[in-house]
Amino acid sequence: MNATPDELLALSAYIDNQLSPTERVALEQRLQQDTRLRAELESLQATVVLVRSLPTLKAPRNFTLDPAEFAKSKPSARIISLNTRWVSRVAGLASVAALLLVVFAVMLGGQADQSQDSPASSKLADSNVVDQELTDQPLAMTAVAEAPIATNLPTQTVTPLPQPTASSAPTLALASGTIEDVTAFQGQDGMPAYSPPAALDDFPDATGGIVPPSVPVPPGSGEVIENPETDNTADTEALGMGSAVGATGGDTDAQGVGSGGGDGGADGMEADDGMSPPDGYTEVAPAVMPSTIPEPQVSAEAARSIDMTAATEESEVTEREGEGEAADEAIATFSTTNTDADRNAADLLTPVLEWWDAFIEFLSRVLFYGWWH
Amino acid sequence: MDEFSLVTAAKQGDVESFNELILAYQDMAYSVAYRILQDAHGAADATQTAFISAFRKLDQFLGENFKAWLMRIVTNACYDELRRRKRYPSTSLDGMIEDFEMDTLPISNDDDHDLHLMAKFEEPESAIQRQELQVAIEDCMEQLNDAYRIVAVLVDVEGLSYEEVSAMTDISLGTVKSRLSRARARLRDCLRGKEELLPSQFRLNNS
Repeated sequence: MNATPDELLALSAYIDNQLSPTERVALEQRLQQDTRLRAELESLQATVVLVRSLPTLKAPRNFTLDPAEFAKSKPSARIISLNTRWVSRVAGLASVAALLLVVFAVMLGGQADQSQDSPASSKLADSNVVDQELTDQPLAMTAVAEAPIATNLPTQTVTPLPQPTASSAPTLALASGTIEDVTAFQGQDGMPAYSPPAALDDFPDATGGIVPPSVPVPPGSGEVIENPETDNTADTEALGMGSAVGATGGDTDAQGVGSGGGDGGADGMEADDGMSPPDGYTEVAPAVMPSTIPEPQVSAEAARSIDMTAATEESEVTEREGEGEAADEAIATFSTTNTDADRNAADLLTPVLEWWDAFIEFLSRVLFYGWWH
Repeated sequence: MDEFSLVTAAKQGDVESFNELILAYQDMAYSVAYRILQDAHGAADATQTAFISAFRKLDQFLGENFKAWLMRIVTNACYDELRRRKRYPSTSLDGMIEDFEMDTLPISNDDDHDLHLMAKFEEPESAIQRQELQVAIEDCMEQLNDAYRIVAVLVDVEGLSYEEVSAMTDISLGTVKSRLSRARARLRDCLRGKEELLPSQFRLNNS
């Protein structure tokens, strides 16, 4: 009763008008004589009509790509965020300059002879000693030392402008300089606004009491973890800003999101698979919801300011480890992936900026130590 | 901008141009992915993966037929997902039907589809009837094996030509034809078991 495979093939091709003229004529002649074959054709035609009646489904969301993440040229948002960070750096410079003036004034007043010989070298020697002592300090002691400054001027942290100047009181300049440096340092690491688990583990005591919980998320950091699912241009641009903040210091934003995935217990099995990106991404986003951010982020700052040297080394190590996997991770999480052009530009700046941020941090801490004691 | 200009701009890294292409093809891509994978979430994931992959591989596109090239990447993403599922099977039929009913909204048919058939269903009871019929057809599609279903989806649902399907699935033209004929025969046999759902003029009696 049923058609043979060859007959099916011919009938199916006939429906789509895919037979050669001679094949077609031959088949049509058979169809006129063979009712069975004709019924077969009609049932197949009806089937095709039914299948063709299936509508094209509407995509449940837009699958457009975020220009900030995928553009081969730098978006303007990146430049804006870079400026914000430079403001922090300049603020840090102003703070340190103010401190240096104060310290030099003290030194000149108290130790005129020494400063005449070689102020720089003697200061450097002092700094080394101080730094050594500082890193040996018990955690609690250092934390106590930091606490009053952070609490004195909570509003300073929101302001990306260079508030402290040489004309400010020393304490004011010191405090805001330190805090802003920490902010800049954090931004440079490209860390999203949650803390790395390692830093928390190393400094469990630092989590509470050092910085008021009202300390805001640094500008831009909160946007880094914004849901990358973009349905419209506005979202896309907002995300671009955030991503760019993380990206400016190098390629570490991929690392940040990657560790976020780890925190959230993202589907490990799927992440290993070629199909993982959407899964990995959707798992990551809830893991770093903004509502959970402030406290861990604050403690990360505190931890970093307590032992800045260790933090620097640690972040550099993770950064390099992350770099090899950065591309894969970025794809796997739909996170920012810088193009080669971005990377090259960032690589040129990054060591200098890192060094500068570290230097400011170091100076602030050394000078602060001298002031406090 | 026409498609060629958009593709050219996208090749030079213009994401916005590529996004216009995505907007033009995302329904088709998702639809194909959904019908191959029979699952809304998997289809969305595969679609997103395919678009990202397409953007990254855009310099490999030599300017012949962007739709076919793009849909090839979509079907490849679906193949990957099917392979993954064979390794980690975890889907349920009920979930799929629920997915389908809740997550997918039909849009107006384009020239590739039979507008007359749809018009016949636009009567008081048509919504339910049409949905039942659609579920019945989808159910029969699902029962096809993957190789047949992919060809049937691309040719009969999406209206692609044999040549396009052959190019995007890396199977010969002859194989496309034979798989399509078998897919149609199996679909017909399956639909015969659901005749009560079919409108009278589409009864598939083999009389």
